[in-house]
Amino acid sequence: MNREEKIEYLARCICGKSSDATPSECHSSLGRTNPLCSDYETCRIAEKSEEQLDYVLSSIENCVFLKACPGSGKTEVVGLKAAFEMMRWKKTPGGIAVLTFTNNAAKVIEKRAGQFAGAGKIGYPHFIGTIDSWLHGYIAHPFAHVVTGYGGKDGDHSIRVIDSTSQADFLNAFKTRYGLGQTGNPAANHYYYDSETGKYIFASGAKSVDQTRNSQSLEEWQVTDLEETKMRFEKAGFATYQDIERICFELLSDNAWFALFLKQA
Amino acid sequence: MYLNELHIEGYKGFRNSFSVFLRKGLNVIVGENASGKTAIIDAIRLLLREDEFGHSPVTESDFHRPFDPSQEPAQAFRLRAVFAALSDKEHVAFLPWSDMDGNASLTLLVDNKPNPRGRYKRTLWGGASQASMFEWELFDTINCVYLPPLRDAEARLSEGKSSRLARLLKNLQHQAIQEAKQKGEPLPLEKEVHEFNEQLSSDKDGAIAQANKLIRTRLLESLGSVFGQDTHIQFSEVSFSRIVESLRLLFFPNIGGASSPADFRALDENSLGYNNLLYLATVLAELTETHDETDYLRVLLIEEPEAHLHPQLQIRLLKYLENTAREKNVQVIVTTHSPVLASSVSLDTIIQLCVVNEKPRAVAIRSCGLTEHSKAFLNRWLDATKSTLLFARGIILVEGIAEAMLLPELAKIVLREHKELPETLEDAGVSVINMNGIYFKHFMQLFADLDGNGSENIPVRCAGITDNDPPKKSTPTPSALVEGKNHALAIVQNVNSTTWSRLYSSPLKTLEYDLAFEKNNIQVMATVLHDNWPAEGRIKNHLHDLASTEWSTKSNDDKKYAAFSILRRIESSEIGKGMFAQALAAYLALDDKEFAVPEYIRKAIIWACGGNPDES
Repeated sequence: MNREEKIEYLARCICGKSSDATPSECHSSLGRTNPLCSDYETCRIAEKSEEQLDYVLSSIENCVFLKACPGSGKTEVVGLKAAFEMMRWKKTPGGIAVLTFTNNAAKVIEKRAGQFAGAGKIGYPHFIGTIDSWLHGYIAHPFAHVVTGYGGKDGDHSIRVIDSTSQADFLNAFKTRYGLGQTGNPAANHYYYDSETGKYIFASGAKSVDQTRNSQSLEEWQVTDLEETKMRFEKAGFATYQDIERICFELLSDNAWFALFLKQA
Repeated sequence: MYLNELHIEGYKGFRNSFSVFLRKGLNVIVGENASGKTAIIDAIRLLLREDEFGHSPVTESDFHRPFDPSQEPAQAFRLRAVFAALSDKEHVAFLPWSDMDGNASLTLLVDNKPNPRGRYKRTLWGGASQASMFEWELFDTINCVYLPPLRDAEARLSEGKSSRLARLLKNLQHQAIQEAKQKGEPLPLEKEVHEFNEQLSSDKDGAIAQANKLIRTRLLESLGSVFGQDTHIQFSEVSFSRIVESLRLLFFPNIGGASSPADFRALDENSLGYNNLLYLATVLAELTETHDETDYLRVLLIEEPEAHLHPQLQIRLLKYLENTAREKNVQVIVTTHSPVLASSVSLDTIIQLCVVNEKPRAVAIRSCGLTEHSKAFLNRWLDATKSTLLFARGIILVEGIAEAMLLPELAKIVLREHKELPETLEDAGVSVINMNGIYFKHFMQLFADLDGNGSENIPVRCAGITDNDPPKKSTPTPSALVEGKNHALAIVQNVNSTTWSRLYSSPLKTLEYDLAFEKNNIQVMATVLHDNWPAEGRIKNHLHDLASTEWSTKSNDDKKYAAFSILRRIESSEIGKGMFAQALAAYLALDDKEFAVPEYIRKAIIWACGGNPDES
């Protein structure tokens, strides 16, 4: 495809440009009433660079990494790409998850994709949001209780997310049995298990305490103590953000049922 | 996928956790009044947000309120549905609603804390956690339609905002309406009505234009040109929904018989029953024909489909619903009081509701541990009369017509001595079911876990009365018993060790023989026989002799000849068991004659009426 063909293809697919008008004719006729382009001086698809168009047209079956300097239009093309893929999506009820690291980025992409495809086209079954909200909403809250053994309250198994720096009184019930290096007994939310290194990491926000604890080399009984305390904490329905990441990792990697699911999707 | 389980807690009559298990296709919920049938339907409606035009707000009376004023009403109610048998596609779509078994669930929690404006906060979530992702678009793929028990079919099919007909038309045209809206073009129907209106008003000398002109003139005269309004007379507004809302359904008595549209008549000239059928047809069309492939679950709730229909139509309708459920993949949930309906569907579809110790309980007949053989037998055997056993508070199973006729009268005699029990079988809500044979094994399995397999059973007291059936010529007496050949005797011990069932057998021979052995009963029975014996002569004289003897002091040996003789006359072609039973029952009902009831029958009656037969 040459540049004109790419633009033609995208414009027809995403904003429904008719075949007998050029992008600029489309912009000045249909586009005048369409909020999609009425705020812009030229057709937003026709103005894209060759590299941007290639990225949008790249296959989503493969991994593609988009790397460019600030202000070069990454978010814009990701929005365009999302709109493009959602418009030609055939795998309902499966959907596309557009995941970001910040709420802000998610909002911007959602807005841009909505401008291209129309707000009604980018919702269910698709998802645009942060990776955390996706993990929490689709994996952790629905299924964490399977791993943690939390029995739920009034039929509700939602995790109560506790900040790792919290010093709330109820956390006294979830302290380790043994003290650690003259720093007292760590509460279950003040440390987490790092699946990658296989180590416990202390992160309570209190720097000196964390430093002392992290510098200890832990005996086996201490590890068991930490493990049991964490299990007790999670069984009662609590978890920190780091715990939730670990739980999701366990669910997704160790569970045949999930593997089956993801294959179907 | 289908709605497999419904759990209710704190809602209406269900204070404690209540569960009902439903199946794919047709479900028929039967049970006496106030057993919670409607509450189940309402719970499903609330959960699936079905409301027939308008809102179904939660009110104070939706929370369980005990009749005992010292007890608190429920703090909240919780409704939970579990959906089973999800397809691959559904597994993907309902992932956040799923558990590890692959079943999806939906929970509604309503706290009994109304806000200052009287509204209750509802929390709805899919799957295990409230904090999970909940997509309304997904929820909306579940389609639930409800038909209330008191249907105003005429109103629903006539023009107006609440017209079912309009809803069907709108749903059928859903796609076209959306497309036309996007393009900003009118629909063909809108165009035609518009043109028709133009035509009407273009005729300057026509009556309509003239009338309009007159009205305008009067308005202008009375209000002046500043306050005056403009008017226009036409056929309805031109938006699609207004047009279809002003359509009405007409009928003609037989299909294809009308020669022109003018032959059809308005529904107010039609019968109630047929109007209901027309209504049902409209709703079914809406549910089965207007869905797209993303509708995962379709549920049709019908309360009392028998309303206004004669038995044959009831059966026809239910068979049709059963087929629709199967072929169009619609889950149909029906509540009924009609034994006709209950007897016309497969036993597997029936769910029996009853209240035990003020707690409602639902038992699906399919989980009563009936063998395939018993099920096939009962399916054929249950007719409208026998299926009353699904609605009774107590049941007495008998072998023949004689027992069925006599028991209500014998029960009056027995119950006279038991002031703690109701006076008659009708008062006690006890049905006598004539099985026309010795089929206790099949019938009693419904109420008794005979094989000890731990199956569920209908928690209603069931008593069986059976004959001893020794050899035909034998003349047993209480002091010289003869072993019976009745195969039902083998299960007596099994039955009597269950919670809800008892089987009592005659110690001597058969009903009439055993009746004759009691006190002075021979006198009464011989009198009835004598009065009904057709021919004068030796037998009639013999009966007269028996009837004028005092028997209560006679020996067993004297009695056995008389009893045998009486049984022979009863079984003879001149009288017959049924005829004699009817005559004796009439005699007992009229006269306050002394008549003694054998122990085994007495026990059966007391058991079925809820008493303790071993106490007295």
